[in-house]
Amino acid sequence: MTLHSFYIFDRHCRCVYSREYTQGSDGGSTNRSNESDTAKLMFGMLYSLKNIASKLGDKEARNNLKSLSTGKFRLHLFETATGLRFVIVSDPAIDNLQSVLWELYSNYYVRNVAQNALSPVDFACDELLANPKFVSETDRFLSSLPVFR
Amino acid sequence: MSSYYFVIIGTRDNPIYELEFSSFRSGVSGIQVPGKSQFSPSVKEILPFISHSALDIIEDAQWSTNSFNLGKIDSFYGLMINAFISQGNIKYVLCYDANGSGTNGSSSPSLNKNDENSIKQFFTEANELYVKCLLNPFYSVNNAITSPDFDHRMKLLARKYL
Amino acid sequence: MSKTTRYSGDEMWKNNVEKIQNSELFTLTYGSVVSQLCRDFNNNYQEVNQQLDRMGYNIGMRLIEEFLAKTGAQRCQTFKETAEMISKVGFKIFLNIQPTVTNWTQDGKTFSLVLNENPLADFVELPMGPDNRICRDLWYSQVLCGVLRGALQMVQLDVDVWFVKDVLRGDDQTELRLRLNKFLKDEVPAGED
Repeated sequence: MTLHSFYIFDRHCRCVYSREYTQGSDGGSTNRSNESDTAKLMFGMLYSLKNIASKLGDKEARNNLKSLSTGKFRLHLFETATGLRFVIVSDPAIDNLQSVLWELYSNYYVRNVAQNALSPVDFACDELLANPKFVSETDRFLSSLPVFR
Repeated sequence: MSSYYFVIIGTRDNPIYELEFSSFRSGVSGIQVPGKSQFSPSVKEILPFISHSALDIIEDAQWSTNSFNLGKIDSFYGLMINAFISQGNIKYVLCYDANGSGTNGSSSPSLNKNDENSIKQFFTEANELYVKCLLNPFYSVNNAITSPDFDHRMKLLARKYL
Repeated sequence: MSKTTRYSGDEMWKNNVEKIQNSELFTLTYGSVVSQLCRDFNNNYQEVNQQLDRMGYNIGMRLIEEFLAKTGAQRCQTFKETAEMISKVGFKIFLNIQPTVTNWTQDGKTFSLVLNENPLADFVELPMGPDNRICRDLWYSQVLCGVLRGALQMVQLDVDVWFVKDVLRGDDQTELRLRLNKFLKDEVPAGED
């Protein structure tokens, strides 16, 4: 049971926050792979899959994509009404992280980014979410979860 | 039937609001416009000077009491002068002819304890009105008060207490 | 509007909202902003309106996230639903008022919000100048227009918002109008169609 990484994509489809967790003592990396092919491909895939999902039922049904799994990983997706996408990559054994993603958005993102008047909310094309408090608080929150390690 | 001259004076000894009126309390004889002051023209002219000369007395009197109402502080040829000072150093001065001189022979209620009290009430509520006026973002301290609403409310106060 | 009844603005106002202890502080702060803008722009009230609108827009962009986080609301399906949501939930949880939604146009794209009370304008009296220009030109609560425009744009609704009446100017009520220009499309990642 492990969480590998955590990404936030903004409504312009850019990765504004990427956080890799490693099991060693170095604490992983922050905002290293925002422009990486992995992030872009992952977003493209989630985007297409989400479109397919929404076309399966009628519009009212809100057939939202929540997660998808491969042999070794599971991707968890949560999209806000404002078009922010929160993504966590985990071990395939972890079934559902919707409440965790909701908490990351409704509590940590809203408090540290949206309500922080000095932090951008609609990120310009060279801006990243690098608010240290957001990073440390979400790290603490995620690592406190039983599924983290 | 007494006539009154009421003035609010700002922190730089500048008048910011004036009102002249007569008592609404006693019976109004036919020829008078209710509420219209009955000061003689010569008295009318010097009212601003009388109230301004009272400022020096207010300066002294404010240290001799704990209350904001300074009571009757001066008189000038039959004109009484009452004053009230606020926390923000805004002075309220009321000049009035207690014996009803200059009126057309109507009854002249003499000044008694009750009047002192109603003047105090009048000052207190006038101060409240001023504070409300101060909350308006377009008003700043020592500006002349031009609001018609304030004027209207002041007149209602005058009618209620004096 | 069965959907919107799920989100009870009343309940949320009671339990879920951090209230400022003294709302006068809020009202006076907004008041000083407006009067300072009037001084800064030399009583060019059109410019002041624009500035307030812009400030509101920036607030709206942030406020919508808080709104969604508090309510857990999904995107509305119709503009009518949006109108109810704005009045019954949005205004309720942020300002504790509930404007009336009214005056719909035939095409259902424009409606009015009538504010029975306006917490921004407590104590305010527009100064009577000789020309009374301030009463003609200044929309004192213009910031609300900006907030609505910013917040709705973040959920892909392109709207125009403007005041048509304000009791501060001597009108019988305070009324703002919202017009839906179009539903915006979600952005598509580079390389997708």
